[in-house]
Amino acid sequence: MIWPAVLAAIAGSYRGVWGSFISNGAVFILLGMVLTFYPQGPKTHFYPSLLAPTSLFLVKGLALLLRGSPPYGWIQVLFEAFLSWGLAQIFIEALSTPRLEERMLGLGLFLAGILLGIQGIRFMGVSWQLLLTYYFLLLASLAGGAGMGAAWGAALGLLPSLAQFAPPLLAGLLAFVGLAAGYLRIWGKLGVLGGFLLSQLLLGPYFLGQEGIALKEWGGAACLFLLTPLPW
Amino acid sequence: MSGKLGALPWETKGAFKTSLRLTVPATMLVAFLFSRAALMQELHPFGPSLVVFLWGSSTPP
Repeated sequence: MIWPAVLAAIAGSYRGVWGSFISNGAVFILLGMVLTFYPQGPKTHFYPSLLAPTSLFLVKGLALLLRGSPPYGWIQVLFEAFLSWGLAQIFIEALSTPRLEERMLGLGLFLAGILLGIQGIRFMGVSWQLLLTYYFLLLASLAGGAGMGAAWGAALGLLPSLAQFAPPLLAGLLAFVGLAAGYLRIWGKLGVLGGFLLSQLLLGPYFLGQEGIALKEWGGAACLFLLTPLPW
Repeated sequence: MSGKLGALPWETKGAFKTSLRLTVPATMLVAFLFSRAALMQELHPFGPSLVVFLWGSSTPP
């Protein structure tokens, strides 16, 4: 299971720049080799999570040394290594912890990784990131009502701003949308969907201008939501 | 689905582990997406952490 994942990760790390592709690919190859040579793994949870930052720092640090990079490059690599350690630790802990909150945190970060990964992927003019964002928002509003809808809306709306340098306008919009959709949860799935569409129509153009009206993504998310086997 | 009558899927013994054992294509898709995931356009911490997680989750503590 490791090498298929490693190969897919190498393929995904190509972003049009060969330099970063080679260094990112080397990180995955190093990880794959270490994990192949030590298939049984260590005895504690702390050690495996350290493998990610160590590999990142070794490979990218070597690339920085060879290129003679300014200090900013080192700070970037340190941050990346630190984040990868935290994420690996959270994912591994979330699998074994009995606490629901920690599992939810792991699941939330897992969904964030998926949503950040599909950024920029469009099919037939549909932004899959936006479609899945709306779908998760609808599910959260149905599951937890106005509070959970607003919280998830704010968190989901922040993701595009985390991925690139963009103002977090979507966070405010989706927080209101989640609030409105969650309030109408008393009418079930159709109520949630109605609140979602009404608040998007009212507030979308106000927050985002012309881009605030994303009919294809709204329709796709609505269809997915209606087809999801949940009680009406 | 095996297990006692009336039990939820995640309450039956072994079903939780089975549900966690992702198939190869699904794992590859997730790995592909995770390695594409970027923070501030330049940081890519998700990919390595997922590979380590796949390994750590498949080994006994």
